[in-house]
Amino acid sequence: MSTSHTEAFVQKAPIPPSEPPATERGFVKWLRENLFSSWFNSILTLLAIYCIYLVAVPAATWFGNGVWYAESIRDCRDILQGQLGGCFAVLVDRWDHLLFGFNYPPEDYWRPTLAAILLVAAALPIMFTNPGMMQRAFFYAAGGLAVFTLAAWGLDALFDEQPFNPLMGFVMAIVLGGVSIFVPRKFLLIYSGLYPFIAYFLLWGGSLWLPLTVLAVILATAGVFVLVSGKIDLEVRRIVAGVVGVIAAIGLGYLLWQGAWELIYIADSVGTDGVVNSITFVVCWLLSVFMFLFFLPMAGFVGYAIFNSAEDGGLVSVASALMFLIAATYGIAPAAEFLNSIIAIELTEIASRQMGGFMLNMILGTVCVALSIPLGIVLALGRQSNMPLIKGVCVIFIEFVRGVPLITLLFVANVMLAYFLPPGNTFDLILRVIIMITMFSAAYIAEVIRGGLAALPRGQYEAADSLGLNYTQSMQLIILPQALKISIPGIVNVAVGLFKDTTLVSVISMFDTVGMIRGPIQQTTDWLGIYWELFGFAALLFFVVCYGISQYSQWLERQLATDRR
Amino acid sequence: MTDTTITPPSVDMHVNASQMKISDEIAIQIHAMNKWYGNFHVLRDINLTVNRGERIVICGPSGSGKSTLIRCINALEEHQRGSITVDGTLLSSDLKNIDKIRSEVGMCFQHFNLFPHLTILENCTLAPIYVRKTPKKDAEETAMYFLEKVKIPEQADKYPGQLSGGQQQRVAIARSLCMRPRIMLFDEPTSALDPEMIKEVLDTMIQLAEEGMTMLCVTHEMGFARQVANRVIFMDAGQIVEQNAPEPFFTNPQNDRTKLFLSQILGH
Repeated sequence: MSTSHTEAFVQKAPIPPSEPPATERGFVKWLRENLFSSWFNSILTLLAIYCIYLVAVPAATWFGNGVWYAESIRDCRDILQGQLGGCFAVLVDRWDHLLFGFNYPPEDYWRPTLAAILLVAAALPIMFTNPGMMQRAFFYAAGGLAVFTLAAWGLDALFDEQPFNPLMGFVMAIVLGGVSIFVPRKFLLIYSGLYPFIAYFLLWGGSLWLPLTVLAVILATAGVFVLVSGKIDLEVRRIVAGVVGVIAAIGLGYLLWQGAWELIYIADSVGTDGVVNSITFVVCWLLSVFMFLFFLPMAGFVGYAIFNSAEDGGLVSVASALMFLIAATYGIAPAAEFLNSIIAIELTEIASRQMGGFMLNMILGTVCVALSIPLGIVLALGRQSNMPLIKGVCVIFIEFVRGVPLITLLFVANVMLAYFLPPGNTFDLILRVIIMITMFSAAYIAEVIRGGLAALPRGQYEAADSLGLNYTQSMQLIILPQALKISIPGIVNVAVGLFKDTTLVSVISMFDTVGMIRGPIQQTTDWLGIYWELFGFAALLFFVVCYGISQYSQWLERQLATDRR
Repeated sequence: MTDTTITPPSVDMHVNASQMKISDEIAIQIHAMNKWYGNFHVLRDINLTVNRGERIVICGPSGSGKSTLIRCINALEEHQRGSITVDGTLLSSDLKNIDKIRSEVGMCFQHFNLFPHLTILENCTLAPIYVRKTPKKDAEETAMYFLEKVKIPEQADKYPGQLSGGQQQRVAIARSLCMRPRIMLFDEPTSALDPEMIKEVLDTMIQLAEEGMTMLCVTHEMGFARQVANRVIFMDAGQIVEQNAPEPFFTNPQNDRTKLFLSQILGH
């Protein structure tokens, strides 16, 4: 078809499109471009295939020959007769300890399992803002649960064990599927808000009235906050602020009065023997006299300040927090006890020490991620503040926590915190660990978010200001949505790291997955010397969760990419 | 101040802007205002009174403090000495006064500064809903009214990143107008735009001027100044060097620096 361009030419018929040659199509093209593009790459490809062969064949043999049913590692060795093969019998024998810890009562295994299923249902409405997508996610979850239940049921029949209550599995699968059809996302979000209380009740047991009372106090506090600082008439706000002011004044006055008596008690017990004791004695007495003299004016001043804040709402948050604290300290436990004495709704109480296995990692991971993101946002904003005190506190907190290894903080939580608290006032071990891990990851998340804030052009702040938006509004509506979007990869990085770091609690003798493997499982004579199977299983559990988080975050980034076209 | 009724343009569009009546009411009063960046004296002893309905163009070489001046008016920059009174409210460090003034004064930036994570309509309704507490439906009606006015109602559901520069600047103007401001500030609204887009933005601004909006405009568009402004202010080195009506300002500048500046920008 080649025609010299010097001659006149008129095309007689158009050239129809044709298929590219076989070497430029489909799989062959892919092979040629990616694996055999030059002789050197071809050699590398062949070499790589050989290496994979070297690893994959023994691995497959090891897995294929695996022993799933044996009493101990010696049993395994007898069955294998020197052949290559894994001893997976340990997983079958100890699956419950790996998941729930060795102290958790087996008849209550359904509780953490149900809490995990409910966690999925609580997370999906938050993760998917689009109702259609949320519905699809619910269907996938229901389907997955049904398949899992079937499999567990099958295993159950095979191994004569009770790994999973099939009835609960099927019922929950139906509930998950049904809920997404009949319940709108708005109500599911309310359920997500209630989930922490449900989960607490399921995991720790005790009276249902305890979480319910806490919830009631939180709602009441939030209600006061909204009423006073919100859109209500000034007159109503004045009344509410007055009530809050009086409560705060009485509370503060009571605390000061009690504190003064406490100081006298300390002074009495210290006595006047020796210089140090005498100084303490005098200081305590002076302080208590001061507090006796001024507890009324101080309480009155705080109450009046809160009453006065009805117009701008500045101190309202302080008042609400104070009210919450007082209620939490003095009101919740007796109220819950009282309600429980009328109508008892109880589950067997399970102590934090009894919890372990992957359940412990999940509890710590979920709670700490959920708490450290808001705390990280507050710290990041605080670090940008114009107020030197706030900025200073945030900078010192972030730099201190980032400069200390997590293990150190965990040891502090485990041992040393008890020294700093008044005797008899120690609180739950898991709670202490949660506080420490949350502080730790919040400091990192704060720095990630600071990066996001710094990446926003100055003009966004100025535009928000010039429209008359106040600080809270411009942060909430303009700055944070954009800064958080930029920060997603970094936040997920910290979240995944945090989840894996929860295995560090094994060093303070908590029996999470790793603690369980290294302690109660490997230390028994039955399973002494098994490593690959146990740690491989632990790796698989963690990989599933971490890979899920990472995939979700990438999806979320694509969803939010509205400005890059 | 929750006036959300949609007022149709009350003034005939074809009236020449320079013939418009200017009220005696004072919109902005700046008295002996000084500002420093560290040791650098950016604004020196600025005195300026703007009456309601006035359209003032501020020009001058770069670094002369003209942007800083109008940014001081809605407190995006702090001034250190002197006073600024906007609509009778004295600008102080009191946050309540600052927020009040900002919600009465609209501002357009050189780089538009639209919110990229919100649609055009959301950009326009955000401030009315959250600052003015306008019901969402009313805010959307107002926004559509002003988007029609700047001739891009069909883009309402797009994101800023999908629009051209000229369209973005017109959205920015509509966004400010949705707050029903009594004064509009423009900080070089056309200097980040391609030449063919400058006209569409200037047309919008001319239309706004014809409706009697009080405007302070930092710009190098001298054609716009001649056509619309009733006063032109020339600034250099942080001082107001010369101010006059456009005709005498352009044909017969008095100060040597004004002459030099005008010869440079009108020379080609």
